[in-house]
Amino acid sequence: MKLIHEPLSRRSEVILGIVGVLGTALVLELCIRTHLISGSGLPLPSAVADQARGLLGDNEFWTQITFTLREWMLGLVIASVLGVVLGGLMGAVPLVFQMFILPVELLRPLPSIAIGPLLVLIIGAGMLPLSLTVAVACTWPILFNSMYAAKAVDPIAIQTARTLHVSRWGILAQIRLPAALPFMFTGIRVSASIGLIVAVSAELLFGNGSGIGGFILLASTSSSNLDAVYAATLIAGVLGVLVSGVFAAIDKLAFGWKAGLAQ
Amino acid sequence: MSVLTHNDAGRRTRVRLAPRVLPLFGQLVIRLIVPALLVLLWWLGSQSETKGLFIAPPLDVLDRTVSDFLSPHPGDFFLGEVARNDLIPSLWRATLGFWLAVVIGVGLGIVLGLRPVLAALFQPLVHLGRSLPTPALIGVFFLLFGTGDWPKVLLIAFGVVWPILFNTIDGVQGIGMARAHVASVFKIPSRDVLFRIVLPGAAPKIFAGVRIALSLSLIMMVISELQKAKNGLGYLLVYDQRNFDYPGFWTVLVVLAVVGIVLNVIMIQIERRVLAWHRGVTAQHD
Repeated sequence: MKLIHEPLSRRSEVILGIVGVLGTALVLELCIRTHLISGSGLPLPSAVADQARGLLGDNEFWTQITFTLREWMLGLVIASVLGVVLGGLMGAVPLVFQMFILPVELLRPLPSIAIGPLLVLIIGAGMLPLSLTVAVACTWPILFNSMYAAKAVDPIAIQTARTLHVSRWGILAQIRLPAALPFMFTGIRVSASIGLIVAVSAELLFGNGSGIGGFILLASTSSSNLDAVYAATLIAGVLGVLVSGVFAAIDKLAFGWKAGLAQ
Repeated sequence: MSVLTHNDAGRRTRVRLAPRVLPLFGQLVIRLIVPALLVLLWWLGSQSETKGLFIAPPLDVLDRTVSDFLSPHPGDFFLGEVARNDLIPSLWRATLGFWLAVVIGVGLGIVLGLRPVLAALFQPLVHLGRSLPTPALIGVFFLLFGTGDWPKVLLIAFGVVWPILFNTIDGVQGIGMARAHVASVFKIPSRDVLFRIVLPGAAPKIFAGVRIALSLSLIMMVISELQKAKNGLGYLLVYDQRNFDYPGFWTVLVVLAVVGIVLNVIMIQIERRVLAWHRGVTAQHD
């Protein structure tokens, strides 16, 4: 078994990726067209691509996309504030850690999607319960990353600052925060991808017909319109890839210096 | 000498006992303050005029959880009726889907990880799969695979396979040049390379993916049962809500949390056993 390989150049990687996507689509298309795989409801790539193109040219669908994005953003902001503040405090102050670790561990495994319907009942339908569901799912990675980040701050740096009579706030602003920020952002980055999936799922399961999930829900009620379901799901997936790409770019731009700092 | 140490030890215990018991008690209080406040908040919510209808009082929920999910009969393995009819089928499907995903994810991940050209070919698809909102495909899965358990199992597997696949590829590719060179210089046979170098080397990353997949499979389990189901915790959520049985609804939430915690503990134990060698070893070399 060979473990050593010539590393691929960036260009050949991109070309191979494109070939892989097109090739898979082509194989699937041929398999379905030649009835190698048969059955109703299979995604014919050309038909799905056609639908996706149609959807992307449709203003109505764009309002759904912006609804989903706004809902996702609100949830992510709530989760970021909550996760960074509580997680940071839990990492920096042992007392806070002791107070909150039990409820955090108890509540974390709860599927956010299961809480959603309850939020709809208590708050009422609209964007807020959906965003809160997103927030519930997104809080945990941010919280834990922030906690570990705050805990892992170099004690020598803090002691040095103390020796130099830097004030408590000075230490917080100049040492603790800059050292913890990159890892906190890693949590936000992870959550951003999860959040988008949760957002669409929440719309699908207990939304009121708005957003990409709402569109998929309406489309799935008629089994003749499955291509639209596939197309919308695909668009949501591509949106997710784009979002994670954007967050990776921000990460590289803002926290590129953390590479040398990795724990 | 021995008397001295004895005395020393005796004094130490006497001195330490009081401060040790007190902090222990204090610790307990500190740890329970926030949970107690949350339960109080929960109770206050259940007493509110407008929203109280949807929020079942904590004690009622506890009562229902015990009566629904536990039984005094050893013949039923101490499991209540609801546990036998809904919890067990749910967990069975989740387990099946989860293991299917582990086998496919790790197997495919190793193949892709060992061949850079294949990895590059399928990398965009793996990224896309990771970002797909799987619940959107639930209707499609029912159409493709009929009714019954299989569409649900496959939906769970499809939903959770991506983090395992992604992490396995990443883990295999990150095995490190030193070990790769050793394998090729000593012409170690393929089987040994696979089982002694590749799998252990990628194990920490694989476990990271498997852990994500485990908590995700719980979510997918619930989602897969919201439609066209005859049993299961997800079905129970929908059923209770339709019948305005809110204590039942809250009970399911409590059970879901308990299941999640138990699964997490099991996972941590397995990880400790399997990756015991990892602490310290890979931390230094990779």
